[in-house]
Amino acid sequence: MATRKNIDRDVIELVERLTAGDSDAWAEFIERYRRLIYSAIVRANARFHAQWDETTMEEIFEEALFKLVRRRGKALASWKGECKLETWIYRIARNVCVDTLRKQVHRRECDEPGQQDGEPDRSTALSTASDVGRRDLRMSLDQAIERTLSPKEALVVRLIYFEGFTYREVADRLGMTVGAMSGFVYRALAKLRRDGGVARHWEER
Amino acid sequence: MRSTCPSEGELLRLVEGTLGGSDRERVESHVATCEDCGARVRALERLTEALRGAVRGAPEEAASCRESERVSGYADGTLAAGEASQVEAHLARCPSCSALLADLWRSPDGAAERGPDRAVDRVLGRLEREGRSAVVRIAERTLTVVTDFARSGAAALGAGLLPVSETPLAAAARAEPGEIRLSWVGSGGIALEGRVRLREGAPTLIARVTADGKPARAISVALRTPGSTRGPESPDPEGRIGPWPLEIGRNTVVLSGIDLDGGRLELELELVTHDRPDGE
Ligand SMILES: [Zn+2]
Ligand SMILES: [Zn+2]
Repeated sequence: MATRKNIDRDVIELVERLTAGDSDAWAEFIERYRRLIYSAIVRANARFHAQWDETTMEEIFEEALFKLVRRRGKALASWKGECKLETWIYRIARNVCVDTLRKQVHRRECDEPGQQDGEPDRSTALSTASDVGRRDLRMSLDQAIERTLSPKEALVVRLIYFEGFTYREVADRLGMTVGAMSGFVYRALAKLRRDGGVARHWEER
Repeated sequence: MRSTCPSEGELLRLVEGTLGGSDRERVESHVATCEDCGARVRALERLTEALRGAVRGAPEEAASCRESERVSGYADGTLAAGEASQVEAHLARCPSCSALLADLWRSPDGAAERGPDRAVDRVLGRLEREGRSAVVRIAERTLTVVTDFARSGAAALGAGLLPVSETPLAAAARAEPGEIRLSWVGSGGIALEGRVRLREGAPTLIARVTADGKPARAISVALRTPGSTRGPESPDPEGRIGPWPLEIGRNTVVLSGIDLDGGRLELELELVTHDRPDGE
């Protein structure tokens, strides 16, 4: 606990009570952080085009909560106070989302094996007007990712470029080596590059 | 690509700055002289920058900016004054961090955004059961498989020496020539598949412990016989333990560790062996 020096006392106390097995601390912890956890899930749903329904979000929420407080909050032992507890919880919740996405991607690729390496569909051209704002750029990149990449490629590219995951983090979560992962990302980027609209976007800049 | 060209993954890692030491030098000096690779690297630089740039500017995004760590400090009001004003200046420019800040401030309105109460209730229920699990699991130790076999082994087995299972659990034991199979499926996804081999007069136990079908290496296994104790030992990478010799009388297999629900598992399985009555 010595390293948690810049952290609020009441947060440290709550974590200590939780890890000491004080069962009142569970409810208190959940009440305090449930909004943060649920909003991480809502965001992930939107950002990854996950199309989760309410039941799925509820399941993810339950898993994330349970993961945090189970076994007397054992997971909290890995929080050393190097960042705010909120940031750390947000990451845990996001990781549960990523695990759900990974399983979902796996199912989708099993269901539609022909989709993975299909030629990009260029019929829906991207907006390339030079005055598009960043928001539009993000939207057209998002569309290009959805249209051009396999579900797994889309997940990996979004994790790295939109979510700030490192290669190692993504490789670990997906059970790949960093070497294999970087080759995989290269090929995904090459597909994106071949997408006419995306190419025009950055050639113009 | 020439055969001496670095792999595609290496080119990408050069661009991303994650290639270490001598690898980086090798790839860098190659790229400086190879037109193809140079072009690839420049294309990658533009594309990765476009991807990252898009998210930096997108208003609805959060938590991908490097400043986000300090933003949570700001949310909690724990930053020094000078730092806080730097973060404020950043917040004005960075929609991603403003969105994160809004999350962190946990405004009390909007029941839906707090996540469904049902899920919270289920979690509290699971925690309750987890807390009680030590007691519950010990109650399950009543699994007693009474195997009635002769020390003299396989030859005797066919003659009505089926094991008797006296247990409310999903336990099954059945005899095959030369061995008795045991299988037990417990709560928390832990299962034990075992065999008692009857060879050369001395029964031996071989078992495999699994958690949701995968080797359960977090569970250690010990065997207490009337005359000695083996273990506790971790199962091998396939989840197997044994062969361990059993003795006539009460043999207790003790499983302990953490199950998949995070509960503490303490479980004893008893294998009672009898000598065959004389004269059969
Ligand atoms: Zn080259
Ligand atoms: Zn920021």
